[in-house]
Amino acid sequence: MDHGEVSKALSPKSTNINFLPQELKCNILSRLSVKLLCICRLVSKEWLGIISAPYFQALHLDRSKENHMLLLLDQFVDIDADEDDELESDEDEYGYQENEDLLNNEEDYIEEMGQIYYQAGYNVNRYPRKQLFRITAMDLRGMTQYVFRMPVKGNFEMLPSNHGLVCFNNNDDFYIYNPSTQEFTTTPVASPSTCEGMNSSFGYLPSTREYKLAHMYDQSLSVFSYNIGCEIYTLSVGTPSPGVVTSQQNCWKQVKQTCPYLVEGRGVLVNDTFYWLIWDERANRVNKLILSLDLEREKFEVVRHPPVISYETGIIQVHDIHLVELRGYLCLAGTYASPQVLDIWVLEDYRDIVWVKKYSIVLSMLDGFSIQLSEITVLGYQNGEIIVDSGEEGLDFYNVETKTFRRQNKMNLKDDTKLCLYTDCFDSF
Amino acid sequence: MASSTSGSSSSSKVVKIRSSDNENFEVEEAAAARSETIKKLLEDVGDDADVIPLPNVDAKTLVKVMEWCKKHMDDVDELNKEEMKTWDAEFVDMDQSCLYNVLLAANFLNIKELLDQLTQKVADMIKGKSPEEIRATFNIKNDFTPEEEAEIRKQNAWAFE
Repeated sequence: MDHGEVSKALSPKSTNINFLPQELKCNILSRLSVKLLCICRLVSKEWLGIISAPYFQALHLDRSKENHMLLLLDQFVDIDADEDDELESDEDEYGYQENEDLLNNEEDYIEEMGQIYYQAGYNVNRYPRKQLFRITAMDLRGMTQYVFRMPVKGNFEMLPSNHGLVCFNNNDDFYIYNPSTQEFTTTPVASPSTCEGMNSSFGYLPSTREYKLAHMYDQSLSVFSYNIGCEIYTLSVGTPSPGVVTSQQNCWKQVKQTCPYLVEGRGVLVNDTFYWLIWDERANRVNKLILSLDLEREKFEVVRHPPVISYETGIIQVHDIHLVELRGYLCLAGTYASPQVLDIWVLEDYRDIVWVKKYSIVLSMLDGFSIQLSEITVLGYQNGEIIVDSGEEGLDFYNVETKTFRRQNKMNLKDDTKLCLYTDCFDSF
Repeated sequence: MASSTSGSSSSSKVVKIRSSDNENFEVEEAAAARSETIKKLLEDVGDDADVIPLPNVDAKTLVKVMEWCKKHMDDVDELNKEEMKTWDAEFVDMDQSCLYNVLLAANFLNIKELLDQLTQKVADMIKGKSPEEIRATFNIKNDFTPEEEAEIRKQNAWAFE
């Protein structure tokens, strides 16, 4: 029997999508992006109801987690906007998308910044150069979803959460962004720092559906010492359970203990604990590599690290290391110069601190890899592949079964493009 | 490729299944077992099974579903993956009423991979369309008042740029 004959055999009860059970309608719609679903809300009351239901949004999130998106941030000096302080006037030229929140904030922004620097007693340029801020959202096949541009001042840092929202840090101003819905929000004013370049990290806790932003700032008035304060901003995106007090909402909460070390890189939030790499210029980093902050106990602790450092000499044997979360576990990724491998250690037991070397990836397989020039960043894991940024035009995907790489072309990643993964979701503030 | 799927099966066991409109089919067990529902029934009744009745699936739909199961009976090696992709894409390219019948059958028979392919196919049909085009494609009635529609459009305006 061929396809044609079968097609004629119509059962009148189900010739229409409307007659499918709710479960199948949810299955179908959960395969669409948040953006397409916002369009689908207009189809009918039934579709609007499905798409707005918490059950559906949870199902959609589960599917999105296996289908990460990529967010790129580029900044250019805006040559044409040298003297012009009126933001709106340039709008057409750059095709800016309106975003009330951020544009309004731009107004008070200069004042606040001046204030902070003034309080800190540092003589800095109160008016950093105007720049164009461009974010691009694309899927992992290199298909651009949208490009968003706006004029900004100063440098923006991108703090990924490894979930739906991404935070941007511009000095001590924080913008929390959902790339799926293009919504922005800001945090209350953070504590001023007497020293620039302190660490901020963002993360997500699935157990409580909360995002946590950790901001470190120096309170020391001396240029020779640090006194590092740490404060946490909590953003809840779930419905609070009955009886749970959410009094800490919308304010910075100071961590009682001061932070014992300077930290570097993107902090990672796993199991209610932030982890950072300790920054130390001096060579001996034995037992001084990873710092944790238990958010419940508000306690900083040095965490035993995997043997990437010689315990005899204290010399770090790796060319480059960073922390990353893979499948809910804290991982330490280290690039070795000889032999050229990328080792990934997984903190399998975070109570007894048991590290397991799960992957050892031969880097010579990577097209264009050079230990001197390439910086290897592990971004995430999806469908049996570890997603790696090796500074090339496209991302690399390492298949853990076949132990081979494939490169996704047509992504046009630039050298200084900041990038992170995110999950397409409805998280709102 | 037809020879490889039917050829390898000469020695394998055959099970009997019956459609809702009382047509009997003989299907290789390995193919029928792609359905978790049939697999479970076979395990429960063991070798005493005479005919397995499938009261929710009519004959024409069942033929279609079994065509898919037969194709997906054996594990596919890397080389044949691309060919299988093409076959699958052609398989799900059917008219809507047929698509929904096979979808319902795949759901009842619990064939996850087929269900994934079919729901993805319907999702792909939604992509790139305006709400009006979606309603036309799927024969959905617009039950919003013009005021309600304007309000929702306003709330989701960013998605329409």
